[in-house]
Amino acid sequence: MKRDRFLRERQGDWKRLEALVEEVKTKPSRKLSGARVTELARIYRSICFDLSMVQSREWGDDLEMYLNDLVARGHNCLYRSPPISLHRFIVFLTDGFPRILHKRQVFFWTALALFALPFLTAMMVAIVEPAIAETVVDKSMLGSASEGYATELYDSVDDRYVGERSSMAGFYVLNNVGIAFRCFAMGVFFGIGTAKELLFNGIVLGLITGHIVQEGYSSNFFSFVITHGAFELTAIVIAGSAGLLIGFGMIHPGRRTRLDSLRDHGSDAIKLVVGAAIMLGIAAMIEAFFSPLAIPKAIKYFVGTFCWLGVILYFTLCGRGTRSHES
Amino acid sequence: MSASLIVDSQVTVETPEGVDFRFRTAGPGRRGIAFLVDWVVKIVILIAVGFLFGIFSVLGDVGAGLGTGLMLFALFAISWLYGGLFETIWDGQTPGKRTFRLRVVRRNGTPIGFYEAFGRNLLLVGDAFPGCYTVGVLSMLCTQRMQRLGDLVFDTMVIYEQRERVNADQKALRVAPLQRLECGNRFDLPDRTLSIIESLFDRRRGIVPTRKEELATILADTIRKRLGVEPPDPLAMNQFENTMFLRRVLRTFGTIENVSESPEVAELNEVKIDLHPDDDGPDEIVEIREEIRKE
Repeated sequence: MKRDRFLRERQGDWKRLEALVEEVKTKPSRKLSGARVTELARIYRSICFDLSMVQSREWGDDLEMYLNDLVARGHNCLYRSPPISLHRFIVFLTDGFPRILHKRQVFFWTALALFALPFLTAMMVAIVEPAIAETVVDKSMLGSASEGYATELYDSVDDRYVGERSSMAGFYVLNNVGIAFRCFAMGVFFGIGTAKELLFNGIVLGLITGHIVQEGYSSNFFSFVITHGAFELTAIVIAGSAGLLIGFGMIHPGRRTRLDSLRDHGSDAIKLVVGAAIMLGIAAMIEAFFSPLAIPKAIKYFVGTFCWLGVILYFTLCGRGTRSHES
Repeated sequence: MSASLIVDSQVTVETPEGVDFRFRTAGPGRRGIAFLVDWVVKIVILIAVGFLFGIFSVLGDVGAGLGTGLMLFALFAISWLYGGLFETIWDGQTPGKRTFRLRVVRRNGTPIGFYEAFGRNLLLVGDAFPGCYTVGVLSMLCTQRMQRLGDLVFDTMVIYEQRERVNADQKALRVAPLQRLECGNRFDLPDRTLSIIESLFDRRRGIVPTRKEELATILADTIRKRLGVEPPDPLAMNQFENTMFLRRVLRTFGTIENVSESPEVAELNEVKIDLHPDDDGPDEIVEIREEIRKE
């Protein structure tokens, strides 16, 4: 076949594919009729053939590039990832997220150890030797931390409460989710960055906690943090395990290539991070609006224990059964 | 950026249909500029959002507090979710990437999903380490597909989208096609010859005009002989006479427009299909092809 005859005969299909691609772009794919999809697939395949013909006969770079682009766009219409939907989100929360944590629980326990051990050690140190705490953490920071728990809580839900707590809710999201994301992202340096973030946060939080206990505000403090802590501390450790997961994928690819290993670990890690971010969102709302209420401490301890149990049961019971597809 | 760098940045992807198609991956330069555009967009959004929530303070303490909270949330969303959200809903593009015709795709060429978009943007923190995105730029320079760490982990790459149509070259359309009467011999050229002319005008090769004219002179002589066109008067010759002639040749025989718009020419050629099977043409033309490939 000569080039110009080829152009004349095949141009119709090319224009048709361009139109179909535009249509698919503007319309969600599930609204396309079956006939359209069949037509798209058929024309796409024929254009794949055209491209290989132009490539083998060297019928010009412009033409090849044009068809190349057309094939690329058709390819992207036919092979795409499933769209975001409420259903996928619910499946992720009820099944996918806890399932991945089970699968990668070694990383969870490692991250927990990296965070909890320095935390407990630092807390002990700050209680026994308060002077050491002041050399590590800035004194004004320690002061303001314990002061915060010496002041009165909100005894009524009024304008002042709504205003101040709303702005704090924004701050908690910005700060805490930011810490979790950073903790995860630093995992790309072979996990070292994540380990450092976990250790560092563990030590600083441990020293502050120890200082508050030592100053005698422990019941105010623990009743304040117990409820949102269930979500917040767990989420930070989960974000940390996601960072370690990426680091491990880089260091130890096993039998696969390093890139394949990284991709596999990365796709699980990001899901853990998304789950952790959702938990931190919940924690921020609790910390902003529930934790500072001046209600009997017994109620806070009760609700807090309930939340801890809820989180633990969620991760132990959900995502256990068999599933046909990955969510 | 030199032409050779651009040619080197091609990545071939094989479709399940067994056809190879090519992408041009985008390097740190273009991506950096797109990144700056995104920064400007982010700042503009923040200022707009700041004004909007600032108005809340007329509602008193409650409004002011609520406004501050929403503002802090907006700050969070813009610093952490901007890229991920845009790349999810715009199919791998942010405003900056759209401006510079860049798109994030998977390494196999398919569009990215939410997790890839979100994850690769979170890892910008790693790529920014220890400052000025040093790690990211180094990683792009060291990998064949110019991937930063976020791309490596989530198996994505940033491609430069070509939306060049056949004959996007406007110059070729401005010249007049050859007339049947100008040609003493047959009014036809083999496709290989046309594709060689096309490759001479391929902007990606970046051949300088004077060198183009040199190469064009050799081609044009052979083609004139074949078509039976009178050689130009040496005294009245334009500096780029032969380049112009080749553009006219391309306009006459090598364009879709030509084929679809003037059926007479197409018919004329049709008759000759069986008479002149595809050939590489005379040795001069084959040599020129090699020359152009070297450029």
